[in-house]
Amino acid sequence: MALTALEIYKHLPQKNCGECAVATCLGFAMKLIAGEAELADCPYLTEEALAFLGASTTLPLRKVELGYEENPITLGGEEVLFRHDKRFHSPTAILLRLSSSSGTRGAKEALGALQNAVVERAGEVLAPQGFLVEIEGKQDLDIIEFLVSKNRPPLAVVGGSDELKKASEIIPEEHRTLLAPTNPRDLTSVARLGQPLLIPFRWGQSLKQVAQEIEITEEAGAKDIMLSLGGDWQLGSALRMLAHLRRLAIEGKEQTLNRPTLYYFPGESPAEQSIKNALAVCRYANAVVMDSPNGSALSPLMVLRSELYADPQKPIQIPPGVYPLGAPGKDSPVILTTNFSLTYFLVSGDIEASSVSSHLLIVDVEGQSVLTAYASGKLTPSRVRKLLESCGIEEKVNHHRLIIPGLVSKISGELAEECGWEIVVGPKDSSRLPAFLHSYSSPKEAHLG
Amino acid sequence: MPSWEEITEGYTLPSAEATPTLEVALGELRLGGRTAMPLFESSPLKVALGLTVLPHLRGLPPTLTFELGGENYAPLKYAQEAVGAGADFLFVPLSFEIEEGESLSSNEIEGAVGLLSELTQLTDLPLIVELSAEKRLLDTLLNAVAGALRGGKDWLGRAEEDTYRTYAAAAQAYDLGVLAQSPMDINLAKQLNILLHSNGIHYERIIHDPLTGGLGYGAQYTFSVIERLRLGALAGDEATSGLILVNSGEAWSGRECYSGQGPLGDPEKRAPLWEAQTAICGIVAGADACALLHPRAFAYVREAVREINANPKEAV
Repeated sequence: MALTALEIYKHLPQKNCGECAVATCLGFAMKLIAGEAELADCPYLTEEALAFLGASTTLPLRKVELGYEENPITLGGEEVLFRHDKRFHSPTAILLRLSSSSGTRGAKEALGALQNAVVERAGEVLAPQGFLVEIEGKQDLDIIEFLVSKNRPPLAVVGGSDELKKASEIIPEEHRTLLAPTNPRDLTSVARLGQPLLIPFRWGQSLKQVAQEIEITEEAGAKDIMLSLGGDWQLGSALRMLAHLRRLAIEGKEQTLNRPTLYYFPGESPAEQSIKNALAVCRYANAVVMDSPNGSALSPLMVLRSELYADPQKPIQIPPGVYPLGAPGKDSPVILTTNFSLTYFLVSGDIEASSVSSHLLIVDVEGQSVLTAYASGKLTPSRVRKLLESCGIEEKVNHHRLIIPGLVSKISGELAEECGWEIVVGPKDSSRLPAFLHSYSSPKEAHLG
Repeated sequence: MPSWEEITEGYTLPSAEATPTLEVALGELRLGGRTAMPLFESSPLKVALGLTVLPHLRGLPPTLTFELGGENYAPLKYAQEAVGAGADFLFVPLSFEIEEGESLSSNEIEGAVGLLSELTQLTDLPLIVELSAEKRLLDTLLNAVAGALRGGKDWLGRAEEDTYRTYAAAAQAYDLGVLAQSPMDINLAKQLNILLHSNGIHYERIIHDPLTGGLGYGAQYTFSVIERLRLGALAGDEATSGLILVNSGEAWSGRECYSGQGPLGDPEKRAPLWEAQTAICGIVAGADACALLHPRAFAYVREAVREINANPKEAV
């Protein structure tokens, strides 16, 4: 959105009534920009203001929500082409394909697989979001019935128009489900079912034809539309088209083709599919499909997605506390660093590379790196003392020696006084940690004197 | 099959003025010369894929040690395999760590020089050599190492904020390219290039590694730094218009790459995918060259790039 908060404010009622749950109209304008409030929250907007602001606050790439109404996932709704320009909002959804032959037992296993595929790291939970089910027979409808009655995961359902009609009778309207007709002739009849619609963009079709299909199905009643590509596409063309569609939406302000995309190359090995999906995640796909819940293929993809969709303006923070690296014991070194994720990752990686089991202490400095935290007065002896007292490190070691980053050697005296620990100044650069730890932990006496 | 022009008719983007990035030869390949971000236009995805040749396997995770040949590992034999696997260049990290106050033994220097000489005799592929050594050791090391490399073909680094002068002098004396490295920061990357340039190194002769964060360990920072360097170059900033290198072997510095089970899946299958996706992240952001460590990660990325660039006529 190109408007500034002040420009938006000019069109607001300026009564500061607070009925939108924000105290002032200017505050509301800022929330609108951040995407944290909607125009509908303001009861006093004039029609002209609504039309003007509505046009300029519409997200360039439209949004589609899938899943049960209480806990939906959002696809699309993006406003920038490069994450450093602002941020990406809706992480690429990863859907698991359910094979049709296995019936409800298969669905139960699949639900189990969904739960087993959950990876927890650095305070974040990573998991595939839902399923893609292709209806080939009665047992597939049973699977759908089972899923919508059980965990209500987001679903995409592929089939002929009769099958999709049957499926939509099973699926409650509030369980937003992406319906994907296999035959393009069925697009309008499926559009009337009132659920989000997946329009296949087949290799060889022109964008003009796709735009026409979008317009026709919209007239038939489709509200939320997504485009799928993959399968019959040459890989490079598919990726270029994903990028082209995103650029049309963001740079071209295109109003018809600005739909979220689903990217699916079926029938590949888990590894190949993981690689192709990684490329698509880097090049703007809003949903990708994996044929199997294979952990080794899923986990890197989930981590990649989570990183690219992290807010670049907010430093990712690691919860403060003690982190055991390797199998540290009572004699193991205790090393201090800050809770900026990158700092943590670099330092923990270098400690692991040293193979010297250590206790890594993470101090909360609001997600800043060591030098920044020192310069801004956040890395203080009293913060470190409080951490030492509260994190339980006293019970884990039989010594009181703390290794601090070389960049803050200046605070070692003050720190020793405040905490009562012996302070050892470590290397300035974490890549020197392995060498440092080797000489530190083997001839220990050298450092005790 | 319809052409890209036919497919996108009526839905094209306004063509923006872009300054092409520098076109640079790396061995047989001509890299750079980009006029758009990767996959934003119909020209092929141009990237050189290299394999890392380690002098020894000490300190590596067991899965990787095994994959590279285990006890039978010999750098020359492995380099031969890397050439056979279709590497576009060989990346050779040489690390010299010694105790404070001591100096490098002549054995160590001779070992490194010997390996590099043998590699230059083994293959015509360009070498990118990355020295890890304290600044005080460089005076002794650089002449010997640079002298073993081929002028006009090989690259030597890593030149950093505090060592770029030494590397610039060696590179000029031996006609080598410079591998520069900055700590994941666009301004520092640009500044280092400018400093090298003002010390006599043309931008065409710098390959810049803006420090690769492995997947799960800062890959998004690398992604954004590279994107910003590339966008800067396309907008006309000469200082950032040279080659960019990602070192996906950095993926191995995080343990999730290769250890742990359960939801993370079989580590032997996961590790090459973890590294390959680290590489992909850098390549899609705009890196011109990628040094890979795990042979299967190399194979995955090579195959993906081949498939992306296949059938150029039909494939837009």
